[in-house]
Amino acid sequence: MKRVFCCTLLFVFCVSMSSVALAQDGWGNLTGQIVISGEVPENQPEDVKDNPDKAVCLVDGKIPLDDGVVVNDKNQLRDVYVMMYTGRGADTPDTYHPSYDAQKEVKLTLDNVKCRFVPKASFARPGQTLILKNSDNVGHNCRIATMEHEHNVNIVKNAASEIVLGEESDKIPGEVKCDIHQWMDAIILIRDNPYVSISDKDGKFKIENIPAGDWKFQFWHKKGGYLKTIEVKGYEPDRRGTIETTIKSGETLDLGTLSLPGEALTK
Amino acid sequence: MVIRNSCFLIVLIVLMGSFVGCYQRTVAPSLTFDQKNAETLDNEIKKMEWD
Amino acid sequence: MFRLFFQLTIISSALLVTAGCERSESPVFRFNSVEWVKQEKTHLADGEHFSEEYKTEIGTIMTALFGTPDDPKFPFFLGDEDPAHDIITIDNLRMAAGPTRVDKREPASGLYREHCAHCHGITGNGAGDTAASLEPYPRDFRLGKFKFKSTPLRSPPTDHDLTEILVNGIPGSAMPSFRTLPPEQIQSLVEYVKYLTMRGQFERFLLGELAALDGEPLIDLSLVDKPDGEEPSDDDIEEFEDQMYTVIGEGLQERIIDRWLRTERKVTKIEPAPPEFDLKHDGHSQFVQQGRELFFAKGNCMQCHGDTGVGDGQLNNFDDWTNDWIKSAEVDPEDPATYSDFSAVGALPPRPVKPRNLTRHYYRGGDHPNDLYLRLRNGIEGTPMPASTAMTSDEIWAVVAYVRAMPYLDSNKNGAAKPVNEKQVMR
Repeated sequence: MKRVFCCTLLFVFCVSMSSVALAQDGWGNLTGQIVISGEVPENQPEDVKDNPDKAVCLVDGKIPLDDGVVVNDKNQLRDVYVMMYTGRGADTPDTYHPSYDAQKEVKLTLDNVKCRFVPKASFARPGQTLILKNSDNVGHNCRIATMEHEHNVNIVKNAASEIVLGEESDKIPGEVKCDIHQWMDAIILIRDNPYVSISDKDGKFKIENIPAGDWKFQFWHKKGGYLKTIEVKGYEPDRRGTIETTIKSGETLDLGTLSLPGEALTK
Repeated sequence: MVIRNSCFLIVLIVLMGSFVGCYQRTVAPSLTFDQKNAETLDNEIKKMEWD
Repeated sequence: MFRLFFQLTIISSALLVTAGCERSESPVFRFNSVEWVKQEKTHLADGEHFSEEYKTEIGTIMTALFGTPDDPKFPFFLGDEDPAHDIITIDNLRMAAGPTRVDKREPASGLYREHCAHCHGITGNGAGDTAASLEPYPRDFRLGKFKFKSTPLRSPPTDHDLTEILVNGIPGSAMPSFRTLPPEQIQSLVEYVKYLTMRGQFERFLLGELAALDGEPLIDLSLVDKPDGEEPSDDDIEEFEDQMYTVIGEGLQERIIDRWLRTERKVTKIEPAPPEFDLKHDGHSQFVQQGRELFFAKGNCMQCHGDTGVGDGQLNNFDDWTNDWIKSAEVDPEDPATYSDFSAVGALPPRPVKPRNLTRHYYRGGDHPNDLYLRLRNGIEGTPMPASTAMTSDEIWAVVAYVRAMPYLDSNKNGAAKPVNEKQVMR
């Protein structure tokens, strides 16, 4: 009996703790899941040609497919940026939740594995340190080019280089490329506003601790740009792929399943 | 013969000279603008309070 | 016979003088049509075009802010207090702009047209009369990228960097030295290059905004300039000011001019070279050997410059000025049919970027050891040459020592440069 009581107490404690962590007073969350409707665009084999490093870049002895559109078996889409819109005429909060302060201190790793950037899509904040790692047995360079940032760093085989990002903020993600293996590409968004989530392998995204209020959120994917054709129940995305939401204090706004026509990713 | 050749040379030089000297890459179109609007905008820029 | 040729000569030269050499009135800035076509291909479906009205609107905004080639202006938003006066002065712009004047009694003017425009173009678009026949192509300033400078990527060059280029020229390219010009004329050209660059950067920014506008004007003058002289409402004024702040305040001042204002603070510190760097030092040859090892291992330099440093490594890269349009529109640089739309508006045929031949002891960005140190430390903007972030300053100096020794090392005498783009592969 005592045990049951303890368990119940623990359960209640956990639930109350998690609800505290999930939604605090004055702050709310945004979640959802992105799935492709219709036909999923096919990825082409990478343009490896007769690059002398071919042996290192093959996966199981074969030329890998491009990772432009990554879905799981349920067609749930990875690498979609869901971000608070900071563009022309947008309202943005003056302060961010304190839980984001630590984010800047974390060193973010961008690895090169078998001539592929890992992770494909990342988010960094100005001033943050980036560890550019190379797990391959060939040399790479890492050329980051966004609207506001540019770095071109030599990364020797099986080694890493560190860079510190500048203070400017981007509006949309920029590119990461390798000049030696020109088919390699990744995406990075560098900006101060931390309300960004990149959909995971199940197409799920979650932005935590957004100040209560009316904010615009934008959907962006490398292949589709602004996802203006994304279907969000109860919302009408505009031409920049943004929707206007109301984040309520202590609540999580669940957008449910967002479906994106496959044609949006063919550009 | 000498005179004929030199005449020919002169023609050639003039031809080449005019080609090199007067050839202009005018493929990119000129910037078109509206003079009146440019002045209005200029005034508006001066009127604005930039901080 | 003689008479016939004589007559022919006179007639043909007269014809050519009148027909071929007709000059247009005042030169004008050219529109960045390559960027326009690129934006259309990136954002619109095949065969769709942006409204032609945008061309006039962009031209109008550009002219209001930057004037014309004969009458340059610069937007000092804060009037006399504006910090931009430190980097641009109107007097210097006037000295460089306008038609070339040869009258010695009057102050100089038209320096840019006298010395620069035939290659770099009136607009600074790198498409002057001679551009197509030069290798490498003259610099297009409008991307705001400069190769040889003391600041990291994305930080503009300092006045000192630009002055060095003007004074020394760029060995191995068609860029000559302007050492004979008096310092005040060099300074005026430096400022005019900055002016053309900022102008070009802003034009590209405006063109980049088109896709997001969907038919709306960039700055809607009709909000405040009503045709019937009606007073604008408060809402109109607020909307107008919002557009002005976003397009001009953020787009031009914050993104472009402020960067140029900050750049002196971004200069990379050059750590002093260790004593072994000195040729007379006992450890020098060992230091060179250390540099050689770094060249092959940590530096990964041979990847592009080749094992013997003759520049025969990876040859299938393009520079950023070319990549800018060929990458975004899926152009095949080897097939002119895929980029005919760009050629039609003045894009020069893409040429791969050549890794430098290091056995010839000429260096484009200057041959002082500090110049080489900076190329290694920061990389070269606009090219595949990366920054050697992982190397210590002593390691960089070792590579500099090796590179400077390369022309004289026997081991490097055998390698001859391969024909450029032999099969477009490396090694």
